[in-house]
Amino acid sequence: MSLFWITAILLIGVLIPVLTERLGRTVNTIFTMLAPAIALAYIISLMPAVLAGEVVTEYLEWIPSIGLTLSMRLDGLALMFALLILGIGLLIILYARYYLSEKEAVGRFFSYLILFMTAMLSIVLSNNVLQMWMAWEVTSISSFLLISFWSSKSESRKGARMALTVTGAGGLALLAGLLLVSDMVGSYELSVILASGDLIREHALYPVALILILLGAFTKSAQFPFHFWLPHAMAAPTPVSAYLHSATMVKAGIFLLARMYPVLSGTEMWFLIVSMTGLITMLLGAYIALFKHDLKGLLAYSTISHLGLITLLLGLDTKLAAVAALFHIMNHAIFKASLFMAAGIIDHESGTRDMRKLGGLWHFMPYTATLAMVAAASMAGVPLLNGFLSKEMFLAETLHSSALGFISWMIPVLATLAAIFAVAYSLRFIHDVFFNGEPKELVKTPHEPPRYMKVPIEILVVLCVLIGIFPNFMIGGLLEAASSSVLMSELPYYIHEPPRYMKVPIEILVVLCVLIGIFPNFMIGGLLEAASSSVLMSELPYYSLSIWHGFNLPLLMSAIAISGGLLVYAYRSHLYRFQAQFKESDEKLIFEGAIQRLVASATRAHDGLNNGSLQRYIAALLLLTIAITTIPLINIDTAATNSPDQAVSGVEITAAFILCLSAIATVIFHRKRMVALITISVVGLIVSIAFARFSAPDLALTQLSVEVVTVILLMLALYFLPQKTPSESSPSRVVRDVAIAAALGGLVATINYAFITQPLDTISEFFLANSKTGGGGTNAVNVILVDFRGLDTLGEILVLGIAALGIFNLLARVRLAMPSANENGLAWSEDRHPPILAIISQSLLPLALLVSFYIFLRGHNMPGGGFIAGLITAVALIQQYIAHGVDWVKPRIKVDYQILIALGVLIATLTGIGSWFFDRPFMTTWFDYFDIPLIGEIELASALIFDLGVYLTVIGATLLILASLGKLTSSHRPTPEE
Amino acid sequence: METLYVICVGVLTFCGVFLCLRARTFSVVVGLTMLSYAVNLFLFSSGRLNLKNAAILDMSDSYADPLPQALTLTAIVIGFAMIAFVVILAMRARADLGNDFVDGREPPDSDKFIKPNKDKV
Repeated sequence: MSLFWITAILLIGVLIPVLTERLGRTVNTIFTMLAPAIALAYIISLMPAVLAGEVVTEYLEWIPSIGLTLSMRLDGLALMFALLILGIGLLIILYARYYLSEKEAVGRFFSYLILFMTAMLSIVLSNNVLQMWMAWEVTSISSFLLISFWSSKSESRKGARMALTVTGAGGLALLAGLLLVSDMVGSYELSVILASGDLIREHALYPVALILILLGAFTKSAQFPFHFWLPHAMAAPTPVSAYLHSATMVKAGIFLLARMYPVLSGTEMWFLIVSMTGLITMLLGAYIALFKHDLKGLLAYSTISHLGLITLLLGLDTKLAAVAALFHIMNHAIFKASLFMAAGIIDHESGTRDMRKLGGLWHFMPYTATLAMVAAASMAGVPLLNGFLSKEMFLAETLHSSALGFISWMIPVLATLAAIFAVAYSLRFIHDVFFNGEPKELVKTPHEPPRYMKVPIEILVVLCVLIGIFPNFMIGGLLEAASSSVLMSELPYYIHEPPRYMKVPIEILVVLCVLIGIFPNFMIGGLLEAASSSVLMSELPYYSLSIWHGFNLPLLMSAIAISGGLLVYAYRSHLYRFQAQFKESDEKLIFEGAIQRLVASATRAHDGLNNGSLQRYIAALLLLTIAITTIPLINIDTAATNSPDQAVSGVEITAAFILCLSAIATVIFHRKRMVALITISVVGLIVSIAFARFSAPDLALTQLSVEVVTVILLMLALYFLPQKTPSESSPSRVVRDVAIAAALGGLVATINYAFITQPLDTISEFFLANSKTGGGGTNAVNVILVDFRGLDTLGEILVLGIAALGIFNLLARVRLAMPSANENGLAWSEDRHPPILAIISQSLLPLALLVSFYIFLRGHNMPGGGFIAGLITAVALIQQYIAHGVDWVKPRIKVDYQILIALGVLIATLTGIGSWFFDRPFMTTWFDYFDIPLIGEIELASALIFDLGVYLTVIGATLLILASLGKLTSSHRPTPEE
Repeated sequence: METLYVICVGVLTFCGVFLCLRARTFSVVVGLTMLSYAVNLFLFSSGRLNLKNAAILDMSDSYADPLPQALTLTAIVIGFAMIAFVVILAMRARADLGNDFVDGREPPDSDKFIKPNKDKV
């Protein structure tokens, strides 16, 4: 088996609950537990090796060339988290089976839960930071689904959205941070990153990377000032709160801190940010927790406080502090999960979580009460429980910290203060719920059983918990039966012990608390050691997990904490009165307000930019282009070696003058559209002359024939469009547009000048050298088109064909307004097809076809080729349309232009494919010379057939465009009378 | 000569961009045509300006760079296809929308109101 199987099995496990939902809740639960149980068993089977110090890594290459490899890593830290995730996860599944009612979509819930479990495990087992980040995001998403499970409740939706927003934003920061770190070391592999601590810490971008990664960790772990989402996530079903928001997901941030500890810690910056954030979070959480009347609210703030404590420990620059942090991660997960589950039972059985209404529940659920008490005592740090041990270590470490210099004494003092509050709120949790009078405002106040009836039960339960809870099912059931039988008969709304198995998870966790508290070394010594060494990546400092270290300062601090907590709780009414003076701020309102403001400003920005005006979009786009092209141009050294200009002759100056003049004339007369058309065709002519002048005969020919086709096209179009553009641009608009256009024109000219005066560095030597020998032609341009870059040409004729077909479709069912007269009201000439034009064009046709055929044939060696020949043929045929009209041409040229296009593309493609039959790559040219009688030696090349495809496509496309447009003019021409 | 050449390219770009920013479709089509001249000349010039050196083997001593020429040739043809498509689109838009504004409606800052085409069939 491989580590990849763990995630694979769990992924399959995501489906199981939905598939088995129909088999009943118990069966469903059992099946759901199957996948995590297998995974847990496998992890446990690897435990001895990992505990012995081995790091299990596995790779699955995906795209190794860019460093994308799936890789897994099981070291001590991962093992500890994996055990927590799977172990507590299994207990949560069992608990949820009793917590959720029959009516709810239990299958869906379990699926989400397993999905979350998979993601969480992938985080801890990942050896690739990108992979880890992906899993990180999946935890955010699955947590969103779980918090909003009761989606009909507004607070669930809002809480889920808040959690997703905060953790999602943190996730983005984390991605940036991880990418930065990966860039520093040149690998995404965690094993490489972990080995390059010094490199990263000394890198100039270390502070940026650190802050980004810490943002990810702090948002996930609800550290101040991002802590506000966690209490609102408590709208989730309690199993979710117990699992995600105490034991696992919020610990992902802590895990990240621990994971990156070897590479990121050890600097002043790390110490200051991490420890101060932890300290503030710890104090704030502990203080607020005391004032929460909601059970889960109290636990949420207590969780924040404990997360702060762990963060603070990781921020203290002593190695023992890191050990204590890991120890506390485990302890906190165990006692907090059981407390959450206890809170869920209370809520479930009494219908409220408000501590002002609850009270005296001890009488109704002593068993649960005992369990909760033990767990709460552990949370408070009472000796003999696991919480005490790690808290003691924590207090000891705060004493050793000297990083705040002369005011380092503040850390232990504040830590003790937080511990005092921890004791106080733990006490409140127990006292307000299970003691402190009677339940208030419940449907009916339960009967108070006889005083002496309770004492034996209390003693029994405490004994049961403390001594040996394993055989406690019997006694528990008895108690449940006794309590409920006393109360049940009289009460319509009764509070009873929860179903037996609902308690099992809590029992196990509580037992763990007690066991770790009493036998720390035996229970978790090995695991802690393995986890610590993978965080520290060096020799472990000496530490001792015994209960008794003698009378020392930490013990005194613990004593102060406990007695202080008792005092604070005893005088809590004063504190409440003090706190009541402050206006209570609701984070949800603040957050929603912020989100609404954000959305409003985004909407404003969006509406401002996206107002539906294409004109404005183009202007914005052009302005952006100006901005981004100007900046690099400023940085170009003007003294760069520019070759001097070539000499200019009078011809060139004249041509340039005509070009500029007619271009500007086009702009000036653009509202008189016909005039603009004439002036722009002058521009086109000069451009083709320029191509001819600058040694590009092929281009000149192409430009010339395209020019003809374009002008005909535009004239046809103009027939259906207004002849004049009314003057409607405001002067300021004109000024703005002139400014944009001038800036761009200047920029383009500058860039153009910048590169044409540089020495030429080209890859064309290859083409020139191989044109004759490899392609069999002397016209290098044509050989490039049909041979070297033949695939590009194939793509191009495809585009041409698609454009033509698109136009054909656009025109297929169009209903165009047909002018009956020109702009001045003059009716069209009666003489539609002047005979002189008809006769001349008809006699020119064979000549034109001959020329195009000649141009086509010689293309490989002389200027010409398929494109030009196709355009010439097309122009010759269009001339017939112009001279005679569609109705005359149609019966004479019975060619379907769509088929012509298809045929052309097909021929070109088949020519390319043909080379496969000779075991050559696609589009390899074949050519040879043949001696044909009478004609002499001629060359035949497969490229000629390819060019034939080009030729046919160009004819088909051009004629399809023009003929379908021209057809519209003659199909029904209105007479002036109409 | 280079200076003269880039001035021409700059002027063509200026005219093309200005026309592209107009509110009516036909001006934009003309502007695009103008811009494609500019772009083609621009691309072509990356092979530098050579006189009497066409890339036909054995016709001269040195040859102009054939690669930009081949690329520009395809650019010219594709440019034609694009302009044809845009102009037909403009016609179709006018037929469907009843006006020839780029935005499909009267721009908010225009001085006068133009009535929708009555001669629409």
